[in-house]
Amino acid sequence: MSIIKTSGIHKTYNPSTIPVHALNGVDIDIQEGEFTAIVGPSGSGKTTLLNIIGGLDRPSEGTIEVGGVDISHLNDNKLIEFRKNNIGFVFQAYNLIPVLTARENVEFVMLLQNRDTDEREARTTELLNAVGLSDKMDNRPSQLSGGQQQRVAVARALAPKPRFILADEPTANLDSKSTADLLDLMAKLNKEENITFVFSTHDQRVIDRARRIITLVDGKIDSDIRQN
Amino acid sequence: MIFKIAWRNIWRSRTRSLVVIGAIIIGVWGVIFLVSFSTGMIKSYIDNAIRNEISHIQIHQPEFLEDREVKYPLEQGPAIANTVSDMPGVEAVAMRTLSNAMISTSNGARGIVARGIDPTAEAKLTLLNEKVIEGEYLSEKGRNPILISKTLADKMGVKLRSKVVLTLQDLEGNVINGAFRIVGLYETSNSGADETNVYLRANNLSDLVNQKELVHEVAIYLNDLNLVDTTVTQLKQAFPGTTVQGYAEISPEINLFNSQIKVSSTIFTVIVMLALIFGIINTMLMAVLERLRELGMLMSIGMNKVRVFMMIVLETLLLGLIAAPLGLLFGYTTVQSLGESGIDLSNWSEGMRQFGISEVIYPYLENQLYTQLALSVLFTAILASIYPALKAIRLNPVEAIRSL
Amino acid sequence: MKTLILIAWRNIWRNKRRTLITAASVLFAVFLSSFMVSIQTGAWDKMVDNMVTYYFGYAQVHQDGYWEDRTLDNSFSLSAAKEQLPSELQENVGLVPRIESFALASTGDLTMGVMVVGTEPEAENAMTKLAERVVQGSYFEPNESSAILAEGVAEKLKLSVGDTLILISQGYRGTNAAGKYVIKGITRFGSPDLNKQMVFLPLQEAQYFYRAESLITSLAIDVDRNEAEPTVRALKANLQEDQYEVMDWEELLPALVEAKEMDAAGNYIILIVLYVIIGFGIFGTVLMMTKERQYEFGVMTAIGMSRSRLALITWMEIVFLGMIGAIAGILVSIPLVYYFHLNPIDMGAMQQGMDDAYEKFGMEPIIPAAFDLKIFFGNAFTIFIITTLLSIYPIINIFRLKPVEAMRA
Repeated sequence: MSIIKTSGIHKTYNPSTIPVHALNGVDIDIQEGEFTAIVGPSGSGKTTLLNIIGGLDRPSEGTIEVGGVDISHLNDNKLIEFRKNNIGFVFQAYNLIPVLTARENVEFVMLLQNRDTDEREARTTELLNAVGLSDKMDNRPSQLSGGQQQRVAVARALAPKPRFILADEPTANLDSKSTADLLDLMAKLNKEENITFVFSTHDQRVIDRARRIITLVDGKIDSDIRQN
Repeated sequence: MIFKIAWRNIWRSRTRSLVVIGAIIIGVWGVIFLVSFSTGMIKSYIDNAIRNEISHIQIHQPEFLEDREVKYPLEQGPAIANTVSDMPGVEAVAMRTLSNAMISTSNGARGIVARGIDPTAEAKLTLLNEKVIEGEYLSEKGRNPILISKTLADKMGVKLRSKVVLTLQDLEGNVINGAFRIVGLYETSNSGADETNVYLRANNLSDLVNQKELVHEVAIYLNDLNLVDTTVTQLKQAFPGTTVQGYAEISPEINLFNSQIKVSSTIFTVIVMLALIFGIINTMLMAVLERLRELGMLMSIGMNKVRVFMMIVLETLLLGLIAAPLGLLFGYTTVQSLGESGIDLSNWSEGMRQFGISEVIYPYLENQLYTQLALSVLFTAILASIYPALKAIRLNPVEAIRSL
Repeated sequence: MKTLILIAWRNIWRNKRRTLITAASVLFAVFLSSFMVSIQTGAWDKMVDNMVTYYFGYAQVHQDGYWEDRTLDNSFSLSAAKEQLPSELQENVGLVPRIESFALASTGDLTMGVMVVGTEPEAENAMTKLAERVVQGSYFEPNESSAILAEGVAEKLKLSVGDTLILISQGYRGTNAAGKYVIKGITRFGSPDLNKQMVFLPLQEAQYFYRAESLITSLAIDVDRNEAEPTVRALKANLQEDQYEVMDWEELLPALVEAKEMDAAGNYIILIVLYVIIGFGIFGTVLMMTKERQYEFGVMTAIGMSRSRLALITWMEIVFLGMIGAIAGILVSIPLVYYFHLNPIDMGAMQQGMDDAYEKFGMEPIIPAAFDLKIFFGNAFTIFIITTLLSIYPIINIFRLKPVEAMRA
């Protein structure tokens, strides 16, 4: 089943002054349960593509469907609603709300979805257990290591039961051990729970673990390789 | 949860938040102090004016009010005094004989108002006996006793037991003289009034002017200010042909000052709130700008603009909610303790007495001002949060996180 | 130094919005306080003016002990006093001899207590411009035996120009004084106190009335406010101390001075509260400036900038921040204050009954704003002091700073 399907995506910045063509017709189709890395040098349009996939930006031309829903023309508020229910984000930094504990950070997104208390509490415990942080639930982000913070972020991303998780350079600030742990966790979730992951990354360690690698050059897909 | 986030956010920059909270506390305290002080001062003036000078109600012959001449006595005076003393709510009634006169001693003369009084009634009404600081109060004893103020005595160079001569016009317009002996010196909180008023027994003054009892003024002191209007109406019906005036009519500035308390407390509040708003806006703006990425993340994971806006408003409001009660508490404590001990301004007593204000001010505050002030702080906080909150929701999450 | 100033100046514009908001708060405080102080100073200047330049003068000479015991018996001879004064002093300042006492004024029907002042018409007019304030009839001509009344007296006694006034009093050494005078003019005083009790007679006429031939009770000295002090000193130096007392206006009108002080004190409390709040606001900005610049401070010290120089820049930044607001505040308040200087506020017109209330306190309900550059500069100076005090915080921070730690943060 297709989770993300883009067709003919163009994105032009400053169309009236000095047009910058960031994307020039990108068609990708990501299936449920895939573990995909999008790579490419700076200026390749990678960031723009991810923003569009994540519903943070809209294409100038073309359509993007997430789970069969066209989100190309949703307004800001609808996009926020859409993101809340369909996409889990793991950023490079500033992932967590610094004033909330690990538990509260995970709970927060479900609160935004108006889930009831019992469900929230049960799922939070379950998710933090799954990412191996059952003993750190009441710590604030500043009391956690970088790797632990990213694992909380993964748990937080999973909380609303999204269609896929969009992870932006999730390992950029981590040491080798934490990187390996985080990737193990994500791979396990992918394999066991069939959760779809889309990464943007420069990190060879991530690329090595990805099962599909989409390379972007000059706003177009240069290669799309599946590996094991 | 948003409440929790907002509350904890305040303490992320503890010093900065404490500075804002401190400013609000001082502002609230300042308004309370200033308003209670000026209210205390105005109340002192009003209380003194009512107690010492004008009483709650005065009754005269209409012509007397025009010219203040002895020849317009209030014929019904004694009858009125009799009726009034039996009316409910009346604390004291006094009849007075009044005449413009010149007081002279061996070395000078001055224009004054001679007030012929019944010593007992006057003591009940204006507490004049308590204002005697040297010698004795007037009594039935002695021939032609007179009570003058310390201020006047000093200016005229006379002492206790000095002899003074009053020169005035009798009912036919003849100039007549009478010799009096100073039995006491008094002092009130109004130096202007002290300089003009001298007190003698009503019968002594009547004798000089007319040989028979003469009343120009009936003054009434009630035990409740709220009874004034109804009592005035009753008296007006009961005694046609006389002029019955409530204190506000006699001294219109009293009502003016009462309304002035409201005006000045509003002005103080507005000034202080305006001064506060800049600091709050600046602080909250910083709080928003330094959290741009975090706010971007919140909006990425699905927090909508209304919630982000409310979070910033709530954070600001919480600052006010922490500060306002503390400021009110400090203010309240100040008013309570100073309200009991009073603020001694005897350094400026001459200046104060010129305006009829006692030299010790007891700050006083209407309870509603506390509420009014608390609401003003919250209103100011909300107002100040609008700009930073708008700044926060104008955020494009893409630009804010920028790193995707 | 020039470079340092330039750096400081550019630094404050790095965060334009914050600088503008902080400067706006200073603007507000300076504007409000300039306006308040101008109005208040104006009101009291006017009141002092009404009392001092319209009647008392900035200095007076009496027989020693007169002010304590103001009676005709404490009068003195003008010529005897003049003998003790150097001729240059007599030429340089105007002398207004007066004989003052109280009398009962009567029209036959109506009576009231008044102050009867005998004065030298020309000298009086030179000092107090009495003639200009005659609103009905005309001023004294030489060798006249008429009276000029203050408006309030005329109203109370229902007299107008040409009517006759009877004065009864006690003269010098207990003699009887009585006289009849035709009213020559009616004059208006700003001060309600003066307006309701003054009656003027030519000096000789009054001396005759009081049976005090060639005697005066007070000698008002016609000097400006600025020259009052040296003149008082010169008079004290020349007049025999045991014979005469020399008093300046503040001694003559102590209650007025106290009331003015008290009002000013009340105003200062408001201003202190205002400036403390604004100070807190500026401190918030200073706090943020210091915190966000830790890294930069670290780099600057690391590359060898002396801490004192860094402190100097920071101090200048904070003072500039305040001064932008102060100058803007002054520029905004000057036209407004000047407007109210030219067009006094009429309290009576603003609120009903206000004029009566003012009159009750001996004030004219017309309040002009004082236009005095000192008021504006005083505010700028206050801001300078506040900002300098607040800059202590970052300066301490700079001197305690450990570059490595600061750069890591």
